Amino acid sequence: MTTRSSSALQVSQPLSFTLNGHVVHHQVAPHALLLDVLRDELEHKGTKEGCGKGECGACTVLVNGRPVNACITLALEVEDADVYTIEGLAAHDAHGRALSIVQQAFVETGAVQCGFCMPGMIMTTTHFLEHNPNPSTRQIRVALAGNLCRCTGYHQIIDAIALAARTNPDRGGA
Amino acid sequence: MKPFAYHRPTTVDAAFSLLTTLPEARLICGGTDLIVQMKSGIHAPEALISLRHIDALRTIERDDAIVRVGAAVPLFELRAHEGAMSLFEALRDCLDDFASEQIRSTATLGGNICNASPGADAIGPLLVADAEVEIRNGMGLYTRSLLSLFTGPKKTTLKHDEIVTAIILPHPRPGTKSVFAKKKRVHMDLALVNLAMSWRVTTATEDGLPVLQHVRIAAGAVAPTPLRLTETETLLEGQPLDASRIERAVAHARTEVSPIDDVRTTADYRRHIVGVFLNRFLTAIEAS
Amino acid sequence: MSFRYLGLDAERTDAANKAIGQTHYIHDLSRPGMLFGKIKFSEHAHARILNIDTSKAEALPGVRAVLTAANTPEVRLGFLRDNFALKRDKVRAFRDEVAAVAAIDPDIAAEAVELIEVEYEPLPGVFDPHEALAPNAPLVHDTDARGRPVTTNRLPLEFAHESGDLDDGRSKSVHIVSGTYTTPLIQQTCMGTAGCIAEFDTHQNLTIWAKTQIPFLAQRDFNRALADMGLKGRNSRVIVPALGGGFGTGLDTHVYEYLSILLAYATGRPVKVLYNRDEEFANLSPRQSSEVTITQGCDAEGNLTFRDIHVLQDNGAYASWGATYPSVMLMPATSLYRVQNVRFASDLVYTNNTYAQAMRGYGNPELTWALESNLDDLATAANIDPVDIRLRNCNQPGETTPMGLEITTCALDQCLEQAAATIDWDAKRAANNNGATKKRGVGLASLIHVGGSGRIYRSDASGIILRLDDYGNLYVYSGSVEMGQGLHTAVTRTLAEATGITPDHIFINQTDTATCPWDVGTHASRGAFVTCNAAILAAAKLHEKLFSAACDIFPAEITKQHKKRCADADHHLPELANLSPDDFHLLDNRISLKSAPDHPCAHLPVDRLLRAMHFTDQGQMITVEAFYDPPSVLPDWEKGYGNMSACYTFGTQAVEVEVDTETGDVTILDVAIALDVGRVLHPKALIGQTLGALAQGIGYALYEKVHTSQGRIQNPNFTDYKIPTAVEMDFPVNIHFHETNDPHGPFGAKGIGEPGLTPTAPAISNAIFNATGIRLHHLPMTPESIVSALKTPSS
Repeated sequence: MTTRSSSALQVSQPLSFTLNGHVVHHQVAPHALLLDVLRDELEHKGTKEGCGKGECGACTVLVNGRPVNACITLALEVEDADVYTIEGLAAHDAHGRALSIVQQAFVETGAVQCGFCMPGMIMTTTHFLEHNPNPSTRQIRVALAGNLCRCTGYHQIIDAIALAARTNPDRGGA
Repeated sequence: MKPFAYHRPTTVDAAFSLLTTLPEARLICGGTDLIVQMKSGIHAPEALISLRHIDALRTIERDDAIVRVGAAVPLFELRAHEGAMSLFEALRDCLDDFASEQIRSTATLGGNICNASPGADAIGPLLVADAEVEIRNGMGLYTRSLLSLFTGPKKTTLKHDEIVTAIILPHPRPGTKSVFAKKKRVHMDLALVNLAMSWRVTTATEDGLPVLQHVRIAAGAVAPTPLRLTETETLLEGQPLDASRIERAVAHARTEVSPIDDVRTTADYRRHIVGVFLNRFLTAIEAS
Repeated sequence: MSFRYLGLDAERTDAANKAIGQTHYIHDLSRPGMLFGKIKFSEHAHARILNIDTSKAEALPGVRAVLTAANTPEVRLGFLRDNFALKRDKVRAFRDEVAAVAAIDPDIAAEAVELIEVEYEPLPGVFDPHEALAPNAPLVHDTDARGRPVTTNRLPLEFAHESGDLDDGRSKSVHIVSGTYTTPLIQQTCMGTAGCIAEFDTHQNLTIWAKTQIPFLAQRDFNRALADMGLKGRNSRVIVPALGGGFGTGLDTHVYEYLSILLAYATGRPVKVLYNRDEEFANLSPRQSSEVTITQGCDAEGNLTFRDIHVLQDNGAYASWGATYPSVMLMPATSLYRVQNVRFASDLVYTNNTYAQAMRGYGNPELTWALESNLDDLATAANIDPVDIRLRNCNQPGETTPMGLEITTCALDQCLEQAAATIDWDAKRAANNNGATKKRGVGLASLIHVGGSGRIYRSDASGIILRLDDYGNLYVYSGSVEMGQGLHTAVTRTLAEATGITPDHIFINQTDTATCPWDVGTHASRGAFVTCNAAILAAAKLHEKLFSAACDIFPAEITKQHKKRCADADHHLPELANLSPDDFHLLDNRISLKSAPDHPCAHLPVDRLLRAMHFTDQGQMITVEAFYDPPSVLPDWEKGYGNMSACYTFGTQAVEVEVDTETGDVTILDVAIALDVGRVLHPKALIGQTLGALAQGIGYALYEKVHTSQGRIQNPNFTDYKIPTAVEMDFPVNIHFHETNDPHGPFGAKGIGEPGLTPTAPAISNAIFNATGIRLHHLPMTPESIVSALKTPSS
């Protein structure tokens, strides 16, 4: 009985997608997960693995505008997709800042402690605010239920998201 | 995960053809259950056939008689479909609370059904809506009731070469309402118990008591499969709803379920909560 | 006292990098030629190892080393030396490490682990400390570390205290209440899991990038391991990357670290061992569990007359820092509120369960859970309001407690009153819940914690080095560890305040035993206290050197500058002859005269001074150091006596809850926190630590438990080990910091990392009691336990 071992021995398949606004042509093993491809093959270490099961949200990236857990997403599923990670967030923001409005708000309110959950938290937030420009704090909390944080108790994260919502120039109104 | 081959058909026929030629293949859609199971070694298929890119499985259609939800519609799209959600409140409430925003980006009704966890959240609301599943096999398409699909924990009647293609929901009769409740530990959680109910209030009696019709009650995580509490339904069907009937129904519901102890909670607590939820549903109906 | 930087909010120095994903944790690091290590864990809770066959694993392509006790020098660890990096004769818990593999990728290493075949002879296991103490219980360890036979599972460790006269206290009591309280195993669940990279150089010195809070004690431990490996005299260098959370997980050295070292040595290549979440849940040491039996008495007025406490701990298979929780428990046991007649006794027992390490609070939350729950019961028995009984027995500044703790500053009475007033205690205690399904109540609890470090080792010091370059940049080298608590920002702001160099010119270097001075470890909420104190001392030395040099250089430079720029100006320079160091100060990177701080020409940018010092004959540059050791003593643990900290932090949490009596759900409606912190160094960071600890306290109180059965962890995943999400924390929190300006604290500040979770569980339980009349004794207070208690007729 042969064991199916060593990804190096597997036939890989081509994968093309847009990563943070740039087209990527790559080869991946069929069983490769998007998280591992981003981190280990494409050297985008910003997205983190917190649990590997889609429970904690640390690996959240945006695929065609939707937040997904990269740890349980096959890399081949993003063929032709538009993928954004934490590294591309400032580029994603239309106003040309070094930090996006969301990132800057997280820094300002003291929401960043150990920082490990932050990339996932910020990606989820970015999606949420694009679709909910004027949220209640309850709505914010529910939207973040898939992003665990052990350091902050979430309070200053909620403050950051509320601040980002208020300071967003695309929000419309005052 | 153990390595596997990956296939990405764009039609149901192509997916079916792959299934029949690859006996060790599994179907995958959102993968939010399957990938986790493959990572822990519970499943190790030699090939995965992705249904995500089959447009025919991703439509939601509503006509005068039914709502047809493609099995591969991501839950966030289903939730955004006002035409469907306005008819099925229990399903809408269930989707608002389903796992997380990230999971809802890719999870599907088809996946939730085929994974067949006894506590799967979406199944109860579908059961109380008399849902049917449309299945493609070697002989074409057939439908069967959703309830009849489940044979045991994580087990269905589906054979290797069968693909769930859609969930068919008949329009509820006018005046039908439905509710959903889920007992969790923290907000992002699977269900310790879930309960769904649909009904119509027909007339009120002389005393102003509501009379319930077409009562459907479905409970999850309280038996080896998702359960319709048909005996409890019978107790309520066509009867005036007063405090005494509510008490009887609640007591009976607690005997109709067969929960177990596990690391999540106890059988006693599950049984207790079935009664609490049903009591709250019925009391709210009585009060309105 | 008004500050330029302290007490004001500012962006954390590390926040922007973390927000853009540019901070590198151990997960993100790699070394050229690096291999990946994986561990084979035991399949039994208790068994003899008969044989280990590694042949198939060794034959797998990509595998570079397979280690077992048979082919590896014995490396012992743990302060009782009862643990081994690789188990030889016996496994004593499911997490016991029997083999380790290094391979070219983690999947191959994992596959190789599966191919290792171990033959066991299962032995009867013991999983309950009461059973483990019974005569004829299976022995987890047959011998001690020296090979001498032992006949009991009880650990040879004594943490005890007795003062006053308990019998006299009893006899003076009008009310006496007893209770037994338990706390479960808890997982720290840092979002960044554990891992390290070990690498040897050609001289067989070790460098290890470690997720540690104790770089120097780790160096000591690893040097000892090197000696065990036949490398005595070789050195370990411990480098600490960004941690991804600590909470006590980094206070011990772990078997996986020793295995990565052994694998690195065996292969000659760097080896990374990284726990994924499943491995972390199953194999990383959790928070110690406890069973505390407490009796307290009071007289008719509510003055505490005596306190009698016994602690039983399930120690698990090996002695790690969980075994020392009673050393910290002594503090609240003897010193939370005033009671003169106190007895404390403890028993620690080996079992075949997992063994525990430090977690935030380190025994204080466990003991406070029992003490503050029991005190409320005593208040009920005595018909005294819970706030009043606490105020009556409140600690006061200037006292010495039965343990010998010297209370410098203490605002506990103000904290009690503040928290009670904020939660609207009087109105809410009196609320009528009759007939309601959802019942509301309020409760509170207080804490004492070490605020000036906690001496548990022969040195409690922290060193710091400051170096100035030619541009006026201040480089900081400190052995303490930033783990997200905001330490680096606190140190930066303190140094800016103390030196006059602006924060943007202050750079804190990576914690590295090769470059930084010694520090015992970042624990006991000591980081800011010791590091900032050391920084202040060093800042004074910095000023001394700068201002000495300025005596000659300042006049020369000012005169030159004045001639060039102000040749036709009307003003005169101040007196520049015979200046002494005391005449100068440094503010916003500029040196000026205290006598003429606003003179437009009499100021010198510090970088000009530094270059003038450097680029001259016999030039000099400035480096200073300080080594701060707090004024405290190492207690005698068997007597339970000694002032272990320089000062103590106090506080109170009050909580309003709503209990759904049908489902048992507890909803937190409102929280009021009053904390005596000495001085607020950085408001948002202090709030963040307080709220983060509160969330952990709420998890501890309501949701979290590691379930085990026959030694096996039943919920090793986030699916079934539930920590609070943002939704569980949806309630207002009102926080008030009291600044008592402690004489020993840096600018008066006391330690604050741990107090935030210490009183949370009893505060919630006391609120549940107020709402429903049920008294819970076991954490977590789950809906199931509340429904069950509500069904039980009260005695």
